[in-house]
Amino acid sequence: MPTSFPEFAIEADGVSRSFDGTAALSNFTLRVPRGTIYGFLGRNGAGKTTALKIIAGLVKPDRGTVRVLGTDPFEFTTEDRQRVGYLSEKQILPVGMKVGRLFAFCAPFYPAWDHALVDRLVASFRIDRCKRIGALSQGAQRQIAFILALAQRPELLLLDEPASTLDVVARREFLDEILGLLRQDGPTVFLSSHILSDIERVADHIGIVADGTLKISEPLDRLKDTVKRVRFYDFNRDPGSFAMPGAFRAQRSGREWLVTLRLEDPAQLDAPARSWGARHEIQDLNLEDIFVDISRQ
Amino acid sequence: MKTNHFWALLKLEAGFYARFLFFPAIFAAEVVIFSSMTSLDGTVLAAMLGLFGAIAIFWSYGFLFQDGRMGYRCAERRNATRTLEFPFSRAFDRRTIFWARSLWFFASAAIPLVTFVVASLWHPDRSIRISQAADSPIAAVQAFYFTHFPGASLQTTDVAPSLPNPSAIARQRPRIFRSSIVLPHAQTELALTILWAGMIAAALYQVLMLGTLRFKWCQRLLPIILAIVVPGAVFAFRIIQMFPQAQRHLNADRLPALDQAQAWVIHNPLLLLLLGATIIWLALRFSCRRFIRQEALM
Repeated sequence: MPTSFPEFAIEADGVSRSFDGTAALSNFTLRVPRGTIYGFLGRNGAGKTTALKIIAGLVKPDRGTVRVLGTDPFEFTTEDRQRVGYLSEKQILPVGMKVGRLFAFCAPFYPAWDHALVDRLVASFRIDRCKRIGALSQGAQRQIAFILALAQRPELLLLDEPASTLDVVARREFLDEILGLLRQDGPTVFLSSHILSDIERVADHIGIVADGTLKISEPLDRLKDTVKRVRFYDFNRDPGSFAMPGAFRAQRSGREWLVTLRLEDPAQLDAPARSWGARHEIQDLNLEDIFVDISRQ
Repeated sequence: MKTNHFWALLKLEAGFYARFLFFPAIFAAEVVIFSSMTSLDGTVLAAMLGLFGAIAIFWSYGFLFQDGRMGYRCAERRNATRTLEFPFSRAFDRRTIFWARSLWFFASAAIPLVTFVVASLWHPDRSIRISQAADSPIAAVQAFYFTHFPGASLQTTDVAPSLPNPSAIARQRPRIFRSSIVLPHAQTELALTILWAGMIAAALYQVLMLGTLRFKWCQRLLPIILAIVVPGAVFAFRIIQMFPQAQRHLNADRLPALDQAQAWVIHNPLLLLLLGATIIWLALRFSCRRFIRQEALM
C-alpha cells in the first residue's frame, strides 16, 4: 500500500537505455505531476515506447533512477501493480480465452475492479463477451485491453498508442472515457500517441521526446502561449545564418525567415529585428506545428 | 504463493496457448507407433524417444517461453518481455506465473514420454537377442542379464520349426536356434527411465535458455545444436554397435550402455528419484529467479 503521496506520479532522472549499442534513451529526465493527463509525443524511434516500458517496469534502464508513485518500478509488488494500469503498444492478449472469461479472470486480482464500467464499455464498444479474443479484430482487441487497464481503477494509467487501431467513433469514445475518468477520481494518465489532435483534446501537460531526450515538458496552455513562429521579412541586411536564443527551428523561405522559438516576451524580438533592419510578425501555432518544429530541431 | 491465483494463472496460460498441446500430442501418437514395433531394440527405441522427447521439450519451451517460434527466435530488442508483457504488467505474482507456466512446460514436454510409459504397460517385457557373432561366451552375457535383471529368462527359438521332417534335415546340417533373454517389465522400466531423464533434460534446458538470455546467438543456436546432438549421439552409438568389429566386443564387460544403465537404474531407484528431484528443484529455482528478473537481463 502507498506509504507516501509524492507530488509527481512519475519521476525519472538521467535515465539511459541502449539496445545493441543503439541508444533509445539518453539522459532522459521527466516529471509527471499527479492528476494530470500527460501527452507524450515523439517521432518513430524517438524512445517513447522504451520510456513507457521503463516506467511500467518492463525494461530496466542502464543508468538513472525511476520512481513511479513513489516506488522503483522494478521493486513493484502485486499491490503496487494494482495501482498502475498499462496498455502496451502491441498488447498480446490470451487469444484462446473468451472475452467474458478474461474479464472474470482479471477481476479478482484487483480490489477496486469496476464491473459496472466493464459492462458499460463492453456495451458501448459492442464487444461480444462470448467470442474468443483471437476471433476479434485488432481494434476490438485493443478496446478489450483498454477496458482491462481502465477497470482496475488505477492511480496511474500508462497508455502507449491506445487509439492507433481504433476507428474514429471508437477513438472518440475512448477519449471521452479518459476525460470522464479524470473528472471522476483524478488518476494520472500518461498517454503516448501519434494522433496529435487527440492529445490536444485531452492532455493538459505535454512532453516531447526526440533522440532519446525530453526536449519539452510543460502544461499545454503554457506551451501554446509561449512557443510561437515569428516571420522576419523586409530585411535591410541579410543575416546569412540565423541563431537566436530559445529558437527551436529557423528556416529560410525566399526573402523571409520563419523562426519557431520560445517567446516569453514579444519585446525580446525588438533587438534582433532592429539589427537586421527587418520587420516581424508573430504567428500562433497549434500542437502539431509545435511538435513538428521541435522534433526537426 | 496464493493457491487460487496459481490455478487462475494456470488457466490463463492455457488460454494464452490453447493450441500448444497439438504437437506434443502428435509426438505421442508417433511414440505409440514406434513402441508397438517389436522389431526395434531398446537402443533404437531410446533414440527415437530421445528425438521425440527433445523436440517436445524444444517445442514446448519455444511456445511457452518464446512465443511459439520454436525457441529459435530471440526476443526482439524493443519487446524484451513480449509474451510476458500482459502478465508482467498486471497485478499477478511473477513467481506464480513462472510456476504455472513451468507446470505447462513440463506437462507438455512429458506427453510423449508419459505416452510411452502407458504404452509399455501393454508390452512390459523386453527381449534381448544374443548375437551369434560375439566372441565372448554367450554365457557371460546371459549371466549379466540374469544377475542384474530380476526374473530374466532364456528363450530359445527354433528358426525352422515347421519343416516337414526336421530330423531328416538335422542329419544334413546343424539345426539353427536363436537365443534371446526376456526381461520382464524392462520396457516399462526403460520408459520410466527415459521419462526421468527427459524431465531432467527439460529442467536443464530451461536453465540453459534462461541462463543465456543476454546472449542472443545462444538463444538461437542452442535448440538447434541440442536437437541434432542429443538424438544424433544415441543414433551414432547404435550405428557403431552395428559394425561387426563392435559386435565382436560385445561381452559381459562391454554390454550395450543402455542396458548397463538400466541395470543400474533398477538397483538404485530411490537414489535416482532423489537425484532427479534435487536437480529439477535446483534448476527450477534458478530458472524462476532468471524469469522474474528477465527484463534486467535483456
